[in-house]
Amino acid sequence: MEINIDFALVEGLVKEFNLSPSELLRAALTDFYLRKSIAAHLKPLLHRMYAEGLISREELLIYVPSEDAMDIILGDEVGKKGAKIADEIWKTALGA
Amino acid sequence: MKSGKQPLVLDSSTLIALIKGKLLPHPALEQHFQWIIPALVYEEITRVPTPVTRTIEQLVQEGKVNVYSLDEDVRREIQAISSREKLGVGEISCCFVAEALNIGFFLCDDHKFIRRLSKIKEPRVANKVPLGFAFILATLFKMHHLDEETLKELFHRIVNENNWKNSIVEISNRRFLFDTLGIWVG
Repeated sequence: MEINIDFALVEGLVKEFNLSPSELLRAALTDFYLRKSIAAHLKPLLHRMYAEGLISREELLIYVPSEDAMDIILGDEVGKKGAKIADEIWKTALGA
Repeated sequence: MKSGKQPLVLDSSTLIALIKGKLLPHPALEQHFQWIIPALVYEEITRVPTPVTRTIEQLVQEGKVNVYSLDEDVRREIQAISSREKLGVGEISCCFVAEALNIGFFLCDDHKFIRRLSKIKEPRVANKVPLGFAFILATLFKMHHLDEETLKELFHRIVNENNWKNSIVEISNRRFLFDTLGIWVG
């Protein structure tokens, strides 16, 4: 099953139904579990929500299977760490 | 091995991904960067002949990729750390080469290494920052060799070709692009 998730749509739903991002996340995950689907389909959305600070580390660990949650938390951390030093590398290598 | 260019130490994961994505060799990058792989990585990759390994051998022969040798006692130390920390010798040797070249990062897209990073006790490994393939995409974007659409296309192609869809590797590279370029590759 292939699902494309539109982040603008999620933001719209949060506003329209007056849901908190974590309530929306819970509803989405329950729906996915009921359909015997896997959380992997939601990973890009969950990652975006986590990166934007819409859901916390704790919420991820509660509502998402632990391996998926840890992938998002640890992967995000490594990406952020890399971004912090990239500017220095570009300054040295490209002079920009 | 001094050339005035910024050295980039590569683990096999990123090296193979960049070759498959046709980003290595790249004339624009070669002007500013020097590609380096530890001898242990080279030996590991070329053990099994494939079209990609043949390309790597050719790049080494042409001097486009440099192989960095480490002394026998350093190799033994790397093996010991590998068993202790449950990490591949390739990633550890990248950290040692980066240390020898006085740089604080190396290029790596190994999911096991990224997962274990926060648990690594060996300081010569723990203090190195792994950058993924997205660093190369972002560099080419900054040099105006890629537009946003092509960058996203290449990101997805590399992720799919290397079976990194929904993996920690995709997540770390996506966050890297978001923080450095403000581009979200969903």
